[in-house]
Amino acid sequence: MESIKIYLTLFTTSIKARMEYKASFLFYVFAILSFYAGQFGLLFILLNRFHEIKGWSVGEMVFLYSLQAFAFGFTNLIFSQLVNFDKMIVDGEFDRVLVRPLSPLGQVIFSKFEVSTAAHLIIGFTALYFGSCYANIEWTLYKVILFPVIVTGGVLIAGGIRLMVTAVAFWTLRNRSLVHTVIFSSKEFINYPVNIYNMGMQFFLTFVFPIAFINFYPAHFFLDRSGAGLLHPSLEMGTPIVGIVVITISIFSWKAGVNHYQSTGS
Amino acid sequence: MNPKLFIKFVSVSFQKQVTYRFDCFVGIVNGFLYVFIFTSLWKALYSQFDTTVHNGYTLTAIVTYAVLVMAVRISFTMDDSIIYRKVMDGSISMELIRPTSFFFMNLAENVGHSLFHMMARTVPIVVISVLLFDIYIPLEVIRILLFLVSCIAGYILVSMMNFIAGLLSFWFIEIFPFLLFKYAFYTFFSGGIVPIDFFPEFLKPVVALLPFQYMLYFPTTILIGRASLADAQSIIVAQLIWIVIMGVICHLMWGAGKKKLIIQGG
Amino acid sequence: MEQNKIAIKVKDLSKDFDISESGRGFSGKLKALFYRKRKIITAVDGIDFEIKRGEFVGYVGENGAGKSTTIKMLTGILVPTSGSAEVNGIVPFKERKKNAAKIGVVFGQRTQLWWDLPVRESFDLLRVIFRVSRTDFLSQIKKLDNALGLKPLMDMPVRKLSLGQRMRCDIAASLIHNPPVLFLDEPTIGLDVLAKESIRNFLAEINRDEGTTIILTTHDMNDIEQLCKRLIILEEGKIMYDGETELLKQKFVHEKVIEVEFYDDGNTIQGIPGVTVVREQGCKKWLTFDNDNYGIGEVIGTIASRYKIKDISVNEPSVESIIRNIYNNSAMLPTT
Repeated sequence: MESIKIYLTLFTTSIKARMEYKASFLFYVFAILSFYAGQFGLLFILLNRFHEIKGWSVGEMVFLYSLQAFAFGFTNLIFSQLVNFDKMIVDGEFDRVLVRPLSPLGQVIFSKFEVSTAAHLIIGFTALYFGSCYANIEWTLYKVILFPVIVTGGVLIAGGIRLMVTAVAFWTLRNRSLVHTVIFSSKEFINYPVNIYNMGMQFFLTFVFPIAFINFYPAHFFLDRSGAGLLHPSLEMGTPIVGIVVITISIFSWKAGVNHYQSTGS
Repeated sequence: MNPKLFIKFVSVSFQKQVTYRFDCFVGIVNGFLYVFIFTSLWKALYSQFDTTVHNGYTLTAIVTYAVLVMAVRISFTMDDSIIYRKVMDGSISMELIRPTSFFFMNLAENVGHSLFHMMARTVPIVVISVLLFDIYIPLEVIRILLFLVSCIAGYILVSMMNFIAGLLSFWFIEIFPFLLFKYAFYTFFSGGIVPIDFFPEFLKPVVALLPFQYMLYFPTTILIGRASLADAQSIIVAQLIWIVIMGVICHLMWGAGKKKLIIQGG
Repeated sequence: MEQNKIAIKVKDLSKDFDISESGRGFSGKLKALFYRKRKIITAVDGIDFEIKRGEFVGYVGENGAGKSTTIKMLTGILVPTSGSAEVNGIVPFKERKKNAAKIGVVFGQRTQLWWDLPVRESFDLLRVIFRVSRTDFLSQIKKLDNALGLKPLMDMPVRKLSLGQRMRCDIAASLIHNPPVLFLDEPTIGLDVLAKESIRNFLAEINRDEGTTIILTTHDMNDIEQLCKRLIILEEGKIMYDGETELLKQKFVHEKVIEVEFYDDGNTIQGIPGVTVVREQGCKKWLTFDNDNYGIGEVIGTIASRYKIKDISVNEPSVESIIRNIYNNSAMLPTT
């Protein structure tokens, strides 16, 4: 559709806008890499001492991490502007979005180019490579095809959650701290295999706030692991379905938010 | 700077934080999230071995450490973009006109900010943690007093660290990458998640050369009983030495920054 | 068709806002779940008007009178509580995108251009967004450049433009797709005299030559006097006046003030029928006169023959003072 061409143009424009600050781009990517190196460092220190985490070896942990890195990298690429969305409402920028002959969601999504994606992808590929090697993953054709599907599902989940928590801004205006907690802090949960938590939390991360589907469950499939905890065989493949459900709910909540904005102003 | 003025700045900063009440509630959840994740992680790790003591920590001790180091860390929360914002909007030039010490004003602002976080976040998190987890603190008056002194020293070091990072705004348009670096170093080398005792041998010399362990790790070890009372005194002395070193750096950088400001005109 | 001649049609349009106390802080918000002091304000209260194609209408009112709310409803940002509105034959809140494609909107205080990019890039992006063909785009830009002098600005990033320069670009940006209707919300705010003049000239030109229907909300009464043939005054959500600007001025002609300057002070003007001195300062005196019974020529002639005067001038009532008087309810509105 022609609309897609328009959104792509919007996106390339936002890349151009970001590139106006060329010098800091590389530096920024490097800074993000070092931040994650710090996180990895701590993980390695623990694994060095304890050899494994609840049955997950070093290689498996690293592979687990790669799934998350890819999902968040692409989510950041697409949904990054949502982090600052509350500012758009408070400043009145959203009015301008409504006065254009385009979908408001499309405009908001394609309006910012997020640099950290490059860093996430570097980490993702690195972790995928080393994780694969150390965990001795047998890459069948099936697994290779399914990997991008799982990552896409992860993006739908992470992006959908981000969209939903952002839409809260339509009602509460300022919600920066909530956004920060839900999007960034909650990531910490899935840095580790979800079966380290008690049953209640595992249930929460599977059925209420389903981020365990981003990396934990699908990892079992790729690593040919048998499950522990809440794991059913079916949950391994649940990621794409959960992703579709989450993104659908989130689009509805976004639309509800826009409706609310249009009836109550700001 | 006279004490009365200092306290005045502290109270102004404190009251500014009071307006962000909702953020604070979210902040309790946010902080507790991390405590939960790490205590779960330690429990899982310790359950994998028959030995109950690792690197000198029993499970109770390590859980106590996890809770307390997070409590100290949250109490040390500061806004590290204060100086950056002042440089960006030009109000930094006011600091040249004022007869007060920029460093102490900054410190006062930090203190106000932190006091609020300490009351609103640390206390609830510690209370909840004490109820949920097995925590042990030796209740010796002298120990607690030494802990408090060490905390104050550690706090000053963190404030200096943020001051130095903030001063980079004079030379760089975007300091966010630097803040990321600082955050990465701070989190890793301060023992904010994993105590230094667990670090592999080859890293220990590096850790010793840096001031970060004196910000969170050492004060916490005093409180949990890991450091003897005699150790505590030498810890505080070492902290004071680092305060002098970093103080010199702060002084030199501020001098250079002021010169740049006067020449450039902002 | 008669229908096509009407650009904007508003009938019994209303907008209520629910500003119930939502409570402060967490405990306040919790309490609000159970009990709320209901408070509804009517920002726009059943207004009617029709604007024909090619009109240049001033839409004024005090802050909070309902102007922005009306504009927001006509541009598709807000959904009305009741009533109907049509812009270019389209219902804005039902077909938001279709409406957006046929209107231009300039918000005086916020730019629609991309902050970090050269102006040229913003224009090009808008060309794509509004699906303007390249040939139409180039000829439109040429026209806009001729009138607004955009060429030196094209390659500058928006963040480096002065307010006047940015406003010119914003107005040009709103016209890239050649919309038949243009909404301007405080376009001259904060601009210097020269910048205001050039923008006013431009707006008058496109209204005259292209037949663009223009709705201008402004607090600057000079904008109104110079540009708007028709004036709609909004007060507390209702229309107080809807008619020709000239008519409003004529009805208040008894407000005309004669300013007389003498060579020295100490003169007193008295005994001239129908004349009242309203103010004195040094050598100057200001007088009003009863224009129902006396002609202005008469009055001036009498003064000139009786006194030795240095200078004499007649001050027109400004739209601003008229409107101010209307707000203060100290003037009777002419029936239209």
